[in-house]
Amino acid sequence: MTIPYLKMDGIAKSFPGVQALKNVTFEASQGEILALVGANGAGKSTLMNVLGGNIEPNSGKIYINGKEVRISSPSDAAANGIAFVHQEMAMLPTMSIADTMYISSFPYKHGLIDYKTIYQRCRVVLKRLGCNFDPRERIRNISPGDQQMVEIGRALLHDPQIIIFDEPTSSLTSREKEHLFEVIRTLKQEGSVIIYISHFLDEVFSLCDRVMVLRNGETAGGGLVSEYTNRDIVKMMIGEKEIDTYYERSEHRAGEEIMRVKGIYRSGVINDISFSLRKGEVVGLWGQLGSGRTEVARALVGLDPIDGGTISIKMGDQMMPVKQSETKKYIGMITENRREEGLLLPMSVCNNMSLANLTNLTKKKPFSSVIDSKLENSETDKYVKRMDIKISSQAQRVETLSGGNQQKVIIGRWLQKNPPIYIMDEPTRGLDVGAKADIRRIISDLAEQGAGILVISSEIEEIMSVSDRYLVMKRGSIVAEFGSNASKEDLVATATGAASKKE
Amino acid sequence: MSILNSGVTQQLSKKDSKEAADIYWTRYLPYIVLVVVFAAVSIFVPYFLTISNLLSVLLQTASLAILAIGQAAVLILGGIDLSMPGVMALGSIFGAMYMRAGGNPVLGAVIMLLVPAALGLINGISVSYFGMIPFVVTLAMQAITIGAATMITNQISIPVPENFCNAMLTKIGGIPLPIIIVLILTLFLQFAVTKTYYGRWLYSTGTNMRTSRVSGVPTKKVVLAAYSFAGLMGGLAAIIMTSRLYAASPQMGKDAVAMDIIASAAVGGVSTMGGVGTAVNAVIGAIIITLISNVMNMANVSYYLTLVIKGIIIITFVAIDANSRKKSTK
Repeated sequence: MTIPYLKMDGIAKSFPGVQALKNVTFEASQGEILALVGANGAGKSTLMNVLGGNIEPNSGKIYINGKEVRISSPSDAAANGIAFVHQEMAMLPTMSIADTMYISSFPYKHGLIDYKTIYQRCRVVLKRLGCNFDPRERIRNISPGDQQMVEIGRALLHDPQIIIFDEPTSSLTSREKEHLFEVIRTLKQEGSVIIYISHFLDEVFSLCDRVMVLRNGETAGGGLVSEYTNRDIVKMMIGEKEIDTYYERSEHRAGEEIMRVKGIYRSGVINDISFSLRKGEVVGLWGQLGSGRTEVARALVGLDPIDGGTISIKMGDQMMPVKQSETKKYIGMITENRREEGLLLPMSVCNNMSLANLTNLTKKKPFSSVIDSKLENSETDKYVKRMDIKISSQAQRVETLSGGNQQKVIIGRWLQKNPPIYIMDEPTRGLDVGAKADIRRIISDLAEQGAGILVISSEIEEIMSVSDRYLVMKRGSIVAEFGSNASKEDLVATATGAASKKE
Repeated sequence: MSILNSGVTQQLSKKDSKEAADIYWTRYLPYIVLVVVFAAVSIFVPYFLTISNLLSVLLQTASLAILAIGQAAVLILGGIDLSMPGVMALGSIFGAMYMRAGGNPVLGAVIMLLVPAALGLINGISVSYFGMIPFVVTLAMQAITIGAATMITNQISIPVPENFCNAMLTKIGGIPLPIIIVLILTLFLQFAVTKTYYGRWLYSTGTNMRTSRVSGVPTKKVVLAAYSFAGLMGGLAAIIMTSRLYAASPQMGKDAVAMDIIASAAVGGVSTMGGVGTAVNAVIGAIIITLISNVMNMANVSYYLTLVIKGIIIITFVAIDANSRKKSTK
């Protein structure tokens, strides 16, 4: 066998608290499309960022064409013929296509930007991608699919030998996707090394020649795509040896229906979302990053707009439709980004925990807008003790707390208000094992006390340890529903599209 | 918690105190500056420390203090209102025109109050519901109001009836009414921002609007209310200033007045980055700025040099604030 064009040997990288990559070895040859797959957090992005010069590994070597190379910055990567087509397009909406493609490397002539050369070169590159845009067109005037082409065009400007595609189809329509695949196949025939990162196994099977699976920062397997079935790859992604009962699963008794969502949608983001939530049950909303799970959660509490559909909530003994702007009154929302949307960082623990409940912490008439600070302090104290939040005093500023305690402060804010429904988006993200367990216990307790809870998590073990039922999302739609007996394999397979016909 | 402490910086634990001493010394800065300026003025200006002179300084401060209080509400939200002078002038002119045409002075005062409040409401709607940039909206509003005021009056002052002015300048127990108004207003608002949930909403929205929104705080209404309140304070200042000048004049609304208002808030300890400040801060700042203006006036400092100095004062205090913020979010 010939020497592979690209070889990454023994790559390891650790971040504070996480070993993201452990001794990963990776090979790719010219004229092939290699799929890189793995669950969220398996290390795909880290590995490719090492190759792209965005992250420096702790150890390991990279060989191109048999020669060892050092890549410590994106420009090193470019110099070695590596181009990265990013998932989130770094677009400048008000600038022209040509400016966007050349933004990091404008050619000059007599001290001025040489637009003549730029336009010429852009036309050539775009034509190669089958696009006939005027390079002077503004980015905001072209479709997301065409923007993706511009992004690829930018990557192709310097005639790269190795092209990395990171989730390139996440914002494309199916026709744009087909066009993109054509382009990728052409690039392959021209002899490029193509690395294709995807959440969607169906794409892997229709496009790629070889597959490599990462799991928890390690190589879990790989080989020719034609030698595998969907299920084989799913098994490699989740690992066969991992035992489901590793996390203690709690069973809750679901009561009557408490919230009913019917056909909510937002064009291009989420489609026809319908489900119901019952008292005392934890529903896991599972899906890959970008599947629309967070968007659904935000739409339910009016943080993102919707184009249609109804949300009904149980009031008394009737389900009443509630305006989207009013649902916040009944739902405790824990967003995925606690520093930006969860906390008032420079303010005290007490002020943070009473924020959602202030109107109930007032003195009697006629001072019903005056906060009763004794009541505020005693309520805060109650939930600080109940959740075992480690603070020096209620006056401590939240920004000085650890992540786990900060998250408990946010949950405590809602416990104080005591809504019938909770939505928790990544409630344990970035927390240590102890804090994670505490928060799972709180979720379980809440369900036992009769709350209806919708939980989103990127960690499958976590979502399986708390959920009684699962809704699986893919590309903005709910594609499957499972009971508590669902297996890890079921969840991963439906979310990646490997088992669209089953169930 | 002391009523004097401002929103975010309230309640410091003992454990934090060393770090806090480092970060929050700035919160005592306005008081230190006030004492220093006051002491300096008392030493160098003869007869400064007489009751009648002090009362006249306070009377002179009244309208600026009220404007600074209105500005503080908007600054705490992280916004800014550059239209306060123009809005005040236009309110004053409409009221004066109504009275000149034989209208009732009480209704004239109501017009002076409500015209600016309505203009503040427009600012508020633009910022909260249409998501426009406060700086641009209120700068445009300043241009509109000062332009209209100058056009309507042809740059000539409109006298107001003496009974209107005399009523406003009545002395109660030897103290002119405007000073009493400022005192009561300050105490009331200080209580409102530190003790009621409306006040807490103001600080939480100014500290982190997204967190507040997720937590169910009606942030749009809070923003709308703050700009309307700033307008209303412009109206109250219009009444007081008109009665002190015995006339309404477009001169009241010139752009440089906005400098004094923002300088007062900044020097008094209201953060231009949102989340910090109270009514008391605004009033202390207004007193400091008035004292400084008076001294420069007496020393025959040219108007243009005065502008230079005030601009430097604003930048200095905003820099101190920004620096202490940087430390606290490290």
